[in-house]
Amino acid sequence: MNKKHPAIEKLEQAFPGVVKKIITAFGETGIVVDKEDLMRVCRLLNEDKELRFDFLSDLSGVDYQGKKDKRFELVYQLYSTHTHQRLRLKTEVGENERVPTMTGIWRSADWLERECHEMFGIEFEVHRDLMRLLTIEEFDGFPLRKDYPLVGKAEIIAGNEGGLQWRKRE
Amino acid sequence: MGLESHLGENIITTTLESLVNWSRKSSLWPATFGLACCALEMMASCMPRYDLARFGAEVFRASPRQADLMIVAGTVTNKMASVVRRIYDQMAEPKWVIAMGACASTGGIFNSYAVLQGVDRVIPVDVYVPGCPPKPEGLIYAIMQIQNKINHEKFSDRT
Repeated sequence: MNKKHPAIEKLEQAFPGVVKKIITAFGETGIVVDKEDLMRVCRLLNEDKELRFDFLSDLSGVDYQGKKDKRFELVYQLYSTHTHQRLRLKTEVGENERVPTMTGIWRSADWLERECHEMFGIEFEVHRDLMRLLTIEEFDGFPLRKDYPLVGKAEIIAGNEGGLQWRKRE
Repeated sequence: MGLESHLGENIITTTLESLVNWSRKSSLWPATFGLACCALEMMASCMPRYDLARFGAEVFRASPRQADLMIVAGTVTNKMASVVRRIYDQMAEPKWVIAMGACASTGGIFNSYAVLQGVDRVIPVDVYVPGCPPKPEGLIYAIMQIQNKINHEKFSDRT
């Protein structure tokens, strides 16, 4: 617990002041970085010979509507298959801001970013294909945003001749 | 009595309707459509303890072309709705549908943007089985209800 995560020392050496906040809880370490620093931080964590965070196991979004200045937060869960270390990386993203894509560093970021885009409407820069993954093509809105109605904006009904229709809820 | 007295004891006379209905109800082949936890109860009802084979409905087919009973077992998401509809359309007539469990019947606890609020919005359902998930007894009872329904069907109803 008291021992500092090796990644934090490396990061502070390489880019002083880049780590805005360190969160330790239950033996897990998380750091907060600025969106602008995200790319170089991730690249260092991935490419450094001793850290080698070669696996982005999850990327999730959080909606802090009305609670924080910047509405969204992205949480990257990193894992190293060489050192078996884990690191949580957080960054705040405002509405209508664009985040650099991590697909160049971790291939798994592709689908995770698509999911984040689909659920929260967070835009990723230079992502090749932000097509919907989990909801149907006609889907309207971003369902995991706090202001999205739980039951959805539309529902499926059977149309004429066996086809399905998508009807707006009042 | 009537015709039987002329034909002897080895021959039974019946109507074509009841013969066809009898053969239909005695070999209901379900299409596998397990979508969630209800599917496990559906599997359990085929296992020796409950043994759906007693009612002639144990042959689960992976192809809708070979099935005449669709057991929608589990939560139908909006994304899955068009697939359910297509599989139903691919099944040959005559065909029947069981909505198994609360989710398939009404959407269950998932009153959300992602879940279809009852499979009857997409396809016609013959029997609904309540429960979350229903026990195999519930499914077997539903199949017996379908058999009962088939037994009383008239050719003139299907034109």
